[in-house]
Amino acid sequence: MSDKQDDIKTLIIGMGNIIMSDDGVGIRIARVLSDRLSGKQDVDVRETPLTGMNLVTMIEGYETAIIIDAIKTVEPAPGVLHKFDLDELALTMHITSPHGTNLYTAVELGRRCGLKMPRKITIFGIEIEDATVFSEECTPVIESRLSAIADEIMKQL
Amino acid sequence: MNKITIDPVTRLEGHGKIDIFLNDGGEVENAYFQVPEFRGFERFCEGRPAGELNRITPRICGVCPWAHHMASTKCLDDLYKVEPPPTAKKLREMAYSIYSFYDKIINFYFLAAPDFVVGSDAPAAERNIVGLINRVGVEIGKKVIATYKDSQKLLELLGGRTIHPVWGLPGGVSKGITDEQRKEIAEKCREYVDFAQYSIGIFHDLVLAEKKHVDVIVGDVYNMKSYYMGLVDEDNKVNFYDGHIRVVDPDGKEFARFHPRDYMDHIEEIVLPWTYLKFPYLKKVGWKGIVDGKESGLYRVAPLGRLNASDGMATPLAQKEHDRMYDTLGGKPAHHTLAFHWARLVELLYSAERALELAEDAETSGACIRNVPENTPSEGVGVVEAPRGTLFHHFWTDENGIVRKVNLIVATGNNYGAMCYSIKRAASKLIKDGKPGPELLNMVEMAFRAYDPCLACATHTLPGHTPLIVTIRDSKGEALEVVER
Repeated sequence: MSDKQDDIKTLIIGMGNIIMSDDGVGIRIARVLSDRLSGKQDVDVRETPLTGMNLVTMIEGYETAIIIDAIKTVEPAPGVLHKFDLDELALTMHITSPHGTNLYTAVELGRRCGLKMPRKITIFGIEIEDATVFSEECTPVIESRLSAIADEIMKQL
Repeated sequence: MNKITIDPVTRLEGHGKIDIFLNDGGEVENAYFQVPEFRGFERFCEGRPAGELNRITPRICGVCPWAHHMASTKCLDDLYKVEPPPTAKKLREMAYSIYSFYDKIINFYFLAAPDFVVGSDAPAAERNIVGLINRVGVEIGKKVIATYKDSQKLLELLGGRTIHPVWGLPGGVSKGITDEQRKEIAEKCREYVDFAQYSIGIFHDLVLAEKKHVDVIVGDVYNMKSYYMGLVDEDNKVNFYDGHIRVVDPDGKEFARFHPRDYMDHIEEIVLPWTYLKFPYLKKVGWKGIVDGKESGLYRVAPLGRLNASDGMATPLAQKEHDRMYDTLGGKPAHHTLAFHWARLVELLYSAERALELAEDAETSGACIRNVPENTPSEGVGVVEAPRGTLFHHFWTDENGIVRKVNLIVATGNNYGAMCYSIKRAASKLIKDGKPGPELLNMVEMAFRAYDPCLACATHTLPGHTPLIVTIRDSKGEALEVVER
């Protein structure tokens, strides 16, 4: 929810399921970033498994939101970092999200209904190997890249 | 043989894929709703203290975390053979009712209402809540957001977290509430009752007032004569948190009524080679395949299943809407699959009323919130009504409470056979001569969306959509046409 302090401008969100191997990579990276950013007063770092309205209520009131999640594209190269702006996902504005709505639509709803949505929403997608096995560990290739991926994201903050 | 595939191929986490096979005459011969494999849950749980499971199982699913938390917590009660004190039971049921309310808001405003109000023939990009507010006005969106945020806060207050509660303990809960908090919750619940009535009003004004919508709901495309199952109280009224499991046959006659602990005497599961999800069916009727009727062991759960399996609702306003629904649909049980949406609204109102009843009860803020377990654990069963149906948790442990085995029948799993049937039926009615009509994608999707299925262990996606691809193949497997969105 949006019970944030006024001086905190940026929210970093790790998304995923922490017990589904690589699915939790966004949360794992967010935890690394949380440690690295612990002295900074103007950044919040949070975790969530849910998109849509849940994310909208989390990002309400921040100037910038950075969402870190797993992704699996057609030509997977595990560990590769992709970066998107929310607007690049505009074409996904379908009601085909199984239990609610996609982020773009939810943000649009928030804006239309008077919520203060961030000026900029950036999404980092980390290419994963496997998200079908219950495990608190990522696959070895992702585990070995966690620190480097966090470095890459830090450079782009 | 011709083949039509509806495959949300790029979803990050678990996704379903629909294959529709046509015969040489272009008529639907079979439809398969395939569910992906997730591996290793049992092994993940084995060797852990059972007390951890009600914090692990909510992570199976980001959509139904409170249902898993509550089923696991009740399973821990049964495992340790400890009865929670009345205050703990009331607190749990109140929180669970608020969660049910919260879940049903999302379903109605984000999934069901746009289909009807914006229209099944509208472009997909408009068939969402933004399209809804474009048609009906922004005030609806503001009310939805405000209510959603309020209920999130209440769940966090009660369960420690909105999504992954850290609250239930064997024999009770970890934290109670003050009288003042209880009264604040009651105030919110009064607003929820109003909001539920407002939502039902929208459904009546914008959906039921239109003959074309009613025709679709009561039409032949979305119909299945099946058994129905749900938790009921001692008066056979719907209860989400506790009670006995009641099953009625397709004529509405009671077929079984049993304690949740005896579920294995009544439910069996079968594995079919083309999907990873098992098909539960009524053991005493038997597996006859994916067919409807009294001879088929397929049963349905979730809102329509619960209402059909009950003698009504335990709260007055919900009972009134329940009666109105069955009057319109021609009596009980109703076999109209799209009536799941209406039944869900009856339950939305029930959730709010029940939460209010419990919030107005002074015992809910009592001091005694837990009975400490003293028995040696071995085996336990916990059942609740998840928004998507009856949810079974079954744990076996050693004498130290270390997990040896886990069995879950998840809510959507109960409806799996029925969903496959409904997809096949809709496809059969809509696809003629091998040519899907322009509304095929959405009309077939509506057949399974009515069940609000929950297939995955995670619920977030990037890029955040579920693309559908329909491929029509000739008898040699060559693609004749691809429809994509």
